[in-house]
Amino acid sequence: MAAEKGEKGAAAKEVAGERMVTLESSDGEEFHMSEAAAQLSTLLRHVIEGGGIDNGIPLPKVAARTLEKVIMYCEKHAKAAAKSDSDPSAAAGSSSDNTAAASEDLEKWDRKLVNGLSQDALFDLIVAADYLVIDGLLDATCRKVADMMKGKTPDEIRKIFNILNDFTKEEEEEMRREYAWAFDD
Amino acid sequence: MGAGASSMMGPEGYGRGRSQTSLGDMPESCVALVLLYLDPQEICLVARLNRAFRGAASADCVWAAKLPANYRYLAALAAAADDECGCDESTEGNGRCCSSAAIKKEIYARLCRPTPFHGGTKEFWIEKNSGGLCLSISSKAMAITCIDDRRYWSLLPTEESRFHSVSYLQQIWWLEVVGEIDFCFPAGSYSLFFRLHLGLPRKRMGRRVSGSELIHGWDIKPTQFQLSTSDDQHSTSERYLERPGTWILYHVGDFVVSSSDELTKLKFSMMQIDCTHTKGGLCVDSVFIYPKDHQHEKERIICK
Repeated sequence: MAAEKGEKGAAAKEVAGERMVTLESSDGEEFHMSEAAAQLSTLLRHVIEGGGIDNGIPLPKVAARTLEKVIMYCEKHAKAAAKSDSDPSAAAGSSSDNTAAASEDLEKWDRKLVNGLSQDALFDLIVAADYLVIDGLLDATCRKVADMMKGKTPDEIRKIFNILNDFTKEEEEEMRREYAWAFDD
Repeated sequence: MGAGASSMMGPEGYGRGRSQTSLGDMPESCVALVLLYLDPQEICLVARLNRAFRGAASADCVWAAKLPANYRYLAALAAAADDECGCDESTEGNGRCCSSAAIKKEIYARLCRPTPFHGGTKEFWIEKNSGGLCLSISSKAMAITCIDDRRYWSLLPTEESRFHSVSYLQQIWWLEVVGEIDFCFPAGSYSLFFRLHLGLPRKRMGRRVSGSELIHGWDIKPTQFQLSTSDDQHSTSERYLERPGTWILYHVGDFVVSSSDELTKLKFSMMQIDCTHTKGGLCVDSVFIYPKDHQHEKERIICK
């Protein structure tokens, strides 16, 4: 699967003092990501620790445009974590305001990321975050989808998300009875 | 490279590169992750979207997050109560008992229905949308001074109580109602209330009326309410009972439970023992315990 990299050399190379990993999307594109960012993915962390990454990590389940977003998310969060770790006043315990503000900024950034996605990009990102085991990204994306569903009827949700109702009439009736407990008063 | 076409509706249909992923195509496991962010009623609503949602909506991981921390304890009580009353209703979804084979969704549904215990003098249930534990303790389970003396107290059957009867006070000098309960509460904050009604609730010609002739003595001195827990939390309040003709929840106080596995012992009381005046015309229904942030719809609350 790994193509000849030529002068690109080992995937775990250094760029500006930071160790990088190379990832290959399902459609053959190569991406670079700092190892610190890659650590946010439990899957990638295990692959890196296992050591088999010299020629890049193939991700046949993640397309290029999705992988791009994954990397954006991980780099952003890795940088934010590094910043708060190295903050001297954090150690002194006096900057809870700063950490709260930084955390709020990060949340805003996450929301902006997911809000800017088309529906299918969003779903692809959920599937990728699930596969790569990136908890924070999964949280942000799933929450977004849930928010889009809140307060809507099943028919409205079907329209928004283009879902096919594959129930028979009998199944629908069965469903109504099965869940009557949730709506009776 | 060209990704091969896979079924649009297949449960594993992802990673196809070019074709559009829709919500209906996501694997059931991912749908279940989305459902974690919905509340129980919303989950039950989206179960009706399509088969994949139906499957995801029944996933244990979804309902495990909604069940109270001590659901096993509560489910065991529910199963025991159902065995006792011989309930084997096959009403879909919510009749099945909390046997060990029941899936978590069924346990949740069952716990939403009240479970009586202690001879039907107490009940517990969980709030449908929050999973918060609620309890009600009938006046029948409480120690009421002179309860057997017909001059003072009588048992009044009424459908306005979930216990189908309330204790009615005609007149007395010494009003003392004391109760207690031992129960495992999921960790959290709770509020305790006495449910009281001034006057006799009656239906006349299909309309509800209230007889106010016998109400007296409540505006002279306040009624004292008390609450204490086995771990030394105490709360007292005093109120002049008011608003004849309506059921009122008088807020006694709040308590905090820190461990879902420990038995909390509560003692609560209402007293009006000033013997310079009599008081009467009062229905004592029950005590209610709700999660502190419970939304009370129907009844009036008198806060501390």
